[in-house]
Amino acid sequence: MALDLATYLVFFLILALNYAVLCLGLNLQWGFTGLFNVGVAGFFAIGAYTSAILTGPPRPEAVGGFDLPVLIGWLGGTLAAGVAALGVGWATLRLRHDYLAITTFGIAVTIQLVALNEEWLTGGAFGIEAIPRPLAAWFTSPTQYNLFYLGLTLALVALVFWGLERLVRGPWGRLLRAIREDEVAAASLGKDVRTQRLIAFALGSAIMGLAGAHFATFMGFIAPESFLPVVTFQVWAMLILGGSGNNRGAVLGAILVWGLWSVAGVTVKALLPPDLQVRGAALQVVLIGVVLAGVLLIRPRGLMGEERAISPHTQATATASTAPSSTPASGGPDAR
Amino acid sequence: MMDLVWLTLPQVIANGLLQGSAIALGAIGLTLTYSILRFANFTHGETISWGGYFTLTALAALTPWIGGIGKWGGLTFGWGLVVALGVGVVGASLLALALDRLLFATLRRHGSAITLVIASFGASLALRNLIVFVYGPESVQFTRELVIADRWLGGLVRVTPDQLAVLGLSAALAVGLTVFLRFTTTGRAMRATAENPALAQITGIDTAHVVRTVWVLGAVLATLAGVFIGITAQLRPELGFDLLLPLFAAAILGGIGSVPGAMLGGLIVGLAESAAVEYLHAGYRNAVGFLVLIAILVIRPTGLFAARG
Amino acid sequence: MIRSTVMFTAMVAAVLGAGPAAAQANCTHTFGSVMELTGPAGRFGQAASKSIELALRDLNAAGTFAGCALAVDLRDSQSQGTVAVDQAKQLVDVRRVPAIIGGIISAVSIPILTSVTASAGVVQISPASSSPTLTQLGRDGRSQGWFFRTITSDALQGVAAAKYALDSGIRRVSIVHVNNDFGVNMVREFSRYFTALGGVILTTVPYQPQQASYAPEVTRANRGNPDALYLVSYPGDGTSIARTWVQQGGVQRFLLNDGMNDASFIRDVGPQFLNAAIGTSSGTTPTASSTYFAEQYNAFAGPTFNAQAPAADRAFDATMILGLAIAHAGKFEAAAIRDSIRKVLDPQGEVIHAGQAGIRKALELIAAGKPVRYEGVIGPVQFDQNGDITGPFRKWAIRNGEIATVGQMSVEEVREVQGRLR
Repeated sequence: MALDLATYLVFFLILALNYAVLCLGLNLQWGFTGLFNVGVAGFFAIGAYTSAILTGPPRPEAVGGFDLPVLIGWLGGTLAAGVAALGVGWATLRLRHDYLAITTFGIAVTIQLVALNEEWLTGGAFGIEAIPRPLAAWFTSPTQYNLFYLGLTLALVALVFWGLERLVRGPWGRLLRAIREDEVAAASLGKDVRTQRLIAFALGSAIMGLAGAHFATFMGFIAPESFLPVVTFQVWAMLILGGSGNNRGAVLGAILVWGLWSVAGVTVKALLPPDLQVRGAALQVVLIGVVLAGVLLIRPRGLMGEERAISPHTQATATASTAPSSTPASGGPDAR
Repeated sequence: MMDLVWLTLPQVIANGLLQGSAIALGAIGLTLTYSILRFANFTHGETISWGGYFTLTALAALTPWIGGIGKWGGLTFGWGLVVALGVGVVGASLLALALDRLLFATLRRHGSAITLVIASFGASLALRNLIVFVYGPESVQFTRELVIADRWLGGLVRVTPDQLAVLGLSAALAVGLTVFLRFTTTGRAMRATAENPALAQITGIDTAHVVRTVWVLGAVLATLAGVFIGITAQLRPELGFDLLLPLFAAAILGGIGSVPGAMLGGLIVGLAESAAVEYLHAGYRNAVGFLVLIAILVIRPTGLFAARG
Repeated sequence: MIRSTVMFTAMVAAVLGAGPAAAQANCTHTFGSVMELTGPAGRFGQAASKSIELALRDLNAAGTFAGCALAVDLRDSQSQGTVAVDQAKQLVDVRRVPAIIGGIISAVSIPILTSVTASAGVVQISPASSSPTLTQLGRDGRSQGWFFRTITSDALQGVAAAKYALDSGIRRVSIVHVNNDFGVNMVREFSRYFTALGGVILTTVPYQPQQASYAPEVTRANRGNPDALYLVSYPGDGTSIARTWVQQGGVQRFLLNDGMNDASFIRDVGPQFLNAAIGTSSGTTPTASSTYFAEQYNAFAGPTFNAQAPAADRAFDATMILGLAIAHAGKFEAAAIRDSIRKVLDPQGEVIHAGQAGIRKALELIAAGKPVRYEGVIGPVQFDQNGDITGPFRKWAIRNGEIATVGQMSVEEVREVQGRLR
């Protein structure tokens, strides 16, 4: 029994850590730079499809698959999402942050529809199947393979985590936070605000693309329904619950919120009489919603708040305003 | 073939305006709550759905007294619906006020705007699935009566009386609300709060009252939107949520806080969708509203009707 | 009030249904199910899950299976592939189920197959995923024989619909179809044969599900006065589209797909507008099984669930086949169940229909080592080597609000049409 549970946990962690990579990418954009990106699913999709087309077997009626090594697929997915983000960001990053949210959302919707409608490229409604897994032939049992893939996933998360920590704790991280807190002040100090924001946006989106490539490789099959807006909302819930502006919070949030999604069903089932199992499934999603809102009521800044990364002598005055709340409030007078 | 394609233009415009007026009804409510509460409120979509379902329930429960949905001339509804709508509006308002009391009021004091957005996402998830639990997942109809549309412009356009009523009502509401915001004390208090809440409070405006008013006003408009979509099409548990994104697009297109802007934004989104299906690719219908929005924002970053920068 | 009465009645029915089983068996074999209970495909999955429960009621009332009563551990995929594989993995690793019924949409069924059931060696039966990708996975050997589906290929139904339309005098047709793998594939096959056989397609308009209004799609499809509208959809969105079509003055002649032969569709559109509506379904002229299912479903599930929902009948058959296969296998093990699935559909076997009497007879035959052939709600079917079924199609028409079966088209006939054009 314990072994069975462990087998399942390995699988659970692979998916949870996939969300963690997405969450880390979003944290760079929102947590450190204050960019309100609601198009997570779009960049995730670009990474997934690029990697699937690069690594997959040839398809008779569509572009690719090019049968390239998985590593190339992952790099390609990362790069494609980053380049797409450069284009998107160039056009939209000067917008007020809630306007940026709706435009990035629109772009994600458009990307999903391209995946659905452009069969020559993405396989359309049928998706892409037979996406190969790395070194699959070396393992005899699926459990062994999943254990290996979890190792790979952990290495990936560690790499992204370490890279981001180095970046945000260095001078660039301080610059990003300065931009987030007061764009005008940062600009008046001679910083090229627009370029820095664009770089952060592209880098964060590239990480989301990497998550997409990792996802496609693990699932072996992708279809447009895998990239609906609900993914974006899940990732946001993870980041805000974990604590934005804190990379450890982003990873923790991903694991906890995915855990919530995973156990809500069993919990609700146990509480309902047998004949309400079908109808009562809706209550499991009600439970997820209530828990999300409830946790935020108790800890409005997430489970782990933002870490103090400012020099000690300014800390006392700065802590009150380090959370993203102090970016211009949505709606309202700041635009007028 | 070319002439045949353009022959449908009047109908395409009519479809766009009709679809747009339903979007506009919802977007006006959204833009008002957005400007005063200062966050993207996902539960507005659920208020639309719940308003529709409350009205439907009232209609069923009150049938012994009001005798069903009623009938006015060529319309498929009458006094019965108006009475039920009254009940639906009260239900949706109480729901909105309860949400504010339980969730958003606390978060306004302690959380950031993004916390409010994510909390509203959680609440919206819960409310939407509560509809599925209570009413079941299938779509329902207010009335099965089906009126074949009247021909206008020598047969080039077909519109039903119901659709004309929705169009007229949306326009009347937009005008009425603009007048209300400009000339009544409450309206002015709302605008002042939207401009600068701190200043409004100092000058003696009861901002708590304004917040309550805007929740109720938003719920009334949401219920109207839900019921009119229920009348012209059908009610589904995801109705409000699926509509929310065109609503956001319309509200932002018009400039947050602007009632005429939301009306115009709704019509533009509706027309864009209608034209895309006819002349471009029907599969991209859901993206077109956003693409128009992005194009306009790139040219005019504050929306069409935003107040002076 | 009405609602709670219904629930109470359903509860009593469930308890009564489960009663005899408890008397016969003192152990339970639990298999799994991953269904779209919430999210965009929620209403299909809910209807299908009620069918599983209905079939279980009958099975358990009729006897024991490999010595035990049967039960299902039902999980919600939330219409999301990631949630689906997580739940399927829980079922396989933690609950140790040897078989899973699910899911509805391909974005759920395929990931479950590729990342859980095929590698773990667990039987999977989907009641609704009609994607050609699943056939391909079988051909490539990637489903390793673990996958079955109780839904006929859209390709064949598209051909049958084309032939039926032309035979009914429809020459110029406009198409409105749901923009997913089911709709795209169905229309592709239909169009190929319809035009090759001399028909003309004026416009093909894909629609996104769950729009508040379908006026734009209808206007576009109505361009050029077609003889009929081919509407590939589900009740719900399909109802809204058909109403808008009639409102906009479209010709009141429809060609419909499997699932649209639905009482709520006819009621909500209005029977007076549907007197020239025809369509195809998989299955034969009504059988004892289909009559039984139609009678029992709403009495069991209550009025809020739809017996005509796309997966309801097929989920019922999937459960029946699984139950009989478990009895045939004599043990609750994946490989044995897999090998028995084809044996309970033996073309040489004695025909068995749904319902407790039928199941009792099947159990006796199986105990005596005699072959059985389950003829379910969807008719007499057979799984091929890829786990796909082939079976006849029913041609129906709506007359005065009632669905009348007007003929049948055998697989051989459909294949003959296909062959003629290759």
